[in-house]
Amino acid sequence: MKKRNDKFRVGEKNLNANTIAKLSQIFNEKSWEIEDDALNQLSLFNRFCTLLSELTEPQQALIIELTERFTRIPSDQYKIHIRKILDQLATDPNIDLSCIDDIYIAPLIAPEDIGKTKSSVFVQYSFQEQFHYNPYFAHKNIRFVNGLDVESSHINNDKSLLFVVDDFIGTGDTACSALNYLFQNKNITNTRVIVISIVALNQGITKILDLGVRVFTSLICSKGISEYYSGTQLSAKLTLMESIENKIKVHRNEKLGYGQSEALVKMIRTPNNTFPVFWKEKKGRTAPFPR
Amino acid sequence: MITDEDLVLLLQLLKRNGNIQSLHKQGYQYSQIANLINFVIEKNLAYYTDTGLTLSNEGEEALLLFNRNLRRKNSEAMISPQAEYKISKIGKYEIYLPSNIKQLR
Repeated sequence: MKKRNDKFRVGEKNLNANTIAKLSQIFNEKSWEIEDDALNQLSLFNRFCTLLSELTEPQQALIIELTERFTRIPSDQYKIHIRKILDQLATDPNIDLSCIDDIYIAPLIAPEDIGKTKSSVFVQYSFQEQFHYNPYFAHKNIRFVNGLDVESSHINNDKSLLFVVDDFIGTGDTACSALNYLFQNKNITNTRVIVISIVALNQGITKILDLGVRVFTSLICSKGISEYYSGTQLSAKLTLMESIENKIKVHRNEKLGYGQSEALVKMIRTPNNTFPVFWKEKKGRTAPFPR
Repeated sequence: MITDEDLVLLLQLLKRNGNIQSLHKQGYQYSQIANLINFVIEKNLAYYTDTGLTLSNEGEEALLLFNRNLRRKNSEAMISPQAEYKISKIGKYEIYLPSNIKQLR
């Protein structure tokens, strides 16, 4: 006779009443909508439940814990975060905005991605509206930069600043590639550049600071498992996540998120730094936040 | 709108922290089940404890009442029939194959 065990059994789905009630509580706390629509199988709540139903109870418990700490910033909330960052910039003792006349705004984009549709371009334009209503910036000359096409003579002076903006900085690879392009190909001085992102991971911020560039963000994310648990609990949670990632067949480069970032965030688009269990859709599998 | 049979099933599942797949298989989306659970809590038929959801005295009484109305006794009062596996009556000589014939041994 076959014994029932905790391992995932193909085709068998399990979601108990307490788990769905707990998920519903999290949705209510986060003001995420639970649609009461019999036709929409692909609503966020249904996507979450489909994911959970394919996992074992300990795996479900881990996903529930991570979901509690998950940050979702829809595009209509970008302005709130941009406003917060502008206030930070205005009150930073190391930045004297009174002597700045011109602010250039460029999207944070890898040189090879110039011309492609990227969320950083959306962020770039979102800044304009907020400048008008901020007393420290309303009277500055705001100039938009196409891609990374800037003139060093415009930036490398005491009256100008170049803001390089995006909604998310993960490992910092894209940011460093853009900054190095500005330094080497456009001869921009690092002290005239400020990187601004709505959300950033610690590792990305460190890389940018190493280039001598200042960074401002509204939200800094720490690693969802490694920087939250410790000791035996940490290794148990990592093993549990590994078992989930093996089950959903995550590519080795994506394990724990790109660069092992362990992010728990979704912006306009879900970054691949977020744990793949939240976005990986493969062979008909449904994920809560597909990319 | 939920039927009495489905409400009994929901109360039974909440009482034993059962697998809600049986409600899902009957055509309820997970989001609808979550809203039904919220409705049951609002009506004071269930409440949260440290270990999860449990039926209140009102919930137990409602379960008893619905079982009486549906004429369910003994094990039927504790375990609902799996309506999703019921099929319409077919002729004596009609050949019937289950949908998943690969599982036949």
